[in-house]
Amino acid sequence: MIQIVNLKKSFGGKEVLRGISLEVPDGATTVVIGPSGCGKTVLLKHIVGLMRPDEGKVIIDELEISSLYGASLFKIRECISVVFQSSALLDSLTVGNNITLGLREHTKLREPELNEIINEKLEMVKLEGTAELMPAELSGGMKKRVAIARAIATNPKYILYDEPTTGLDPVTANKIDELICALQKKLKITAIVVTHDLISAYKIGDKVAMLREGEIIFEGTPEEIRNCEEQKVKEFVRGRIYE
Amino acid sequence: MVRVRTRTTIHGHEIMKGILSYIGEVTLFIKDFLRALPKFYKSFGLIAEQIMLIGIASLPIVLITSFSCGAVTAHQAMFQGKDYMPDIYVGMSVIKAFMIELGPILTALVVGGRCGSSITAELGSMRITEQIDALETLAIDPVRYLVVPRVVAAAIALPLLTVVSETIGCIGGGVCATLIHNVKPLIYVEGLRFQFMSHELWGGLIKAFAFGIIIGLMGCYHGFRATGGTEGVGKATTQSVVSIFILILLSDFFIAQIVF
Repeated sequence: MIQIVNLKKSFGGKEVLRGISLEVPDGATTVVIGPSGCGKTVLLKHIVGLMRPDEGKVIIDELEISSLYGASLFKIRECISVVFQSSALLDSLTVGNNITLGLREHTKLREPELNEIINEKLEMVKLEGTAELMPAELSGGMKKRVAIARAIATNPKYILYDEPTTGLDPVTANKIDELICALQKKLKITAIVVTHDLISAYKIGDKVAMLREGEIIFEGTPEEIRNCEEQKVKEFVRGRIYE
Repeated sequence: MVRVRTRTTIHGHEIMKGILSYIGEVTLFIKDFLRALPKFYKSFGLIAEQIMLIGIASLPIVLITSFSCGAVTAHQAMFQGKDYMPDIYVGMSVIKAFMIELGPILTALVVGGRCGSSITAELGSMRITEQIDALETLAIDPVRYLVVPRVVAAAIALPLLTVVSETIGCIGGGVCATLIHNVKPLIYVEGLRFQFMSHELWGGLIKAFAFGIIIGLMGCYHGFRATGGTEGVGKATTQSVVSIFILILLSDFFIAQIVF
């Protein structure tokens, strides 16, 4: 279970996170929505330990990640995978090598076993036959799929998605949403999805939390947020300003 | 008057703060590198790949600069010592200049400009496109995966390239001395052997090793610290080349004091 307790972070005097507390239930998909620049990605980077909080803590399976360094931090990261907004595939490696990068580093699997994993994961994300391609040869949607395949290759307990549908056309975005839902059903991984795409949030989220001006202003189910009458939530959900 | 002095004081203070913070950051980066270095055996493939990129790919430019520099050295030796210097000293001048100074420094500046900038640009792009963050989230130490192979490869490639540079420099000097100044080939070769001291060769190679470490470390440091999109990568690349050149020239002086 992931718990975020009173998390605060400032950059150059600007408070980005103002005491966020959130519980992420196991086996479900929690979607964090909010307008651009409200601190969603910063929150995600704290969860995986890429940033250190000024105050507060992130607890993963009873371990406080914000106080871990070096080998112990890498150890806990082995059970977390991240799908970055930019996909962040290594340009110098083929699709197949990108997928098995973590496995090559942390396991002693041989080439035939690794190839089997590559084929299995590429089949799951519906990209069969692309193992030998370089990332530069892929479209935006394909890169996202490979990033998802890389994320699930290590069989993580948690997956964090940073804006998985941003920059994609509606059809491709819908396919990515369906893929996230299908993987969720099949693998039962605890997922946190950070997005400002409400269609996506309603489709994939079991729980939705809304972040605005560095604070969580709403927590509930997709149905509850749709019917919420709180002004700031309503403004974002319905896409207009209420005086 | 008072206003001017205050401004100057603040300016000087900020510059000092900047220099000290730069030194501090580089020191911490070197500490991270030394912590990751013992696991270099995990990156043999990556080291070999980097030796190819830094060493083999730099060969043409090292050959061209060394040949022409050797020819210029021989020409200058003949020109300066015209009428009173025996021909045997031409070969000696060329080989000593190359072993002690020209070989290592020329190679380091050429490779530093070529590879230091490319290392920074590559790692800087990886930084701004979150590829380095991705490595961290895959529980892979980016310093071990990206920095160690590049620094180790540069430290291996530089002495090897320096040996090539010294050899080609002597050939260039020989071509100039024999074809333009009519020095007999055997006398030129005898000059190369005359007063040969092995510690000059080793001293030059120690310099080259140190320069290789500087190129690898500073190239990686600036790439890792790149921020602000493609413009930031451009700035980091410029800073990287400038810092590599300054450090090579400074360390050249101090190593020469210790070795020779």
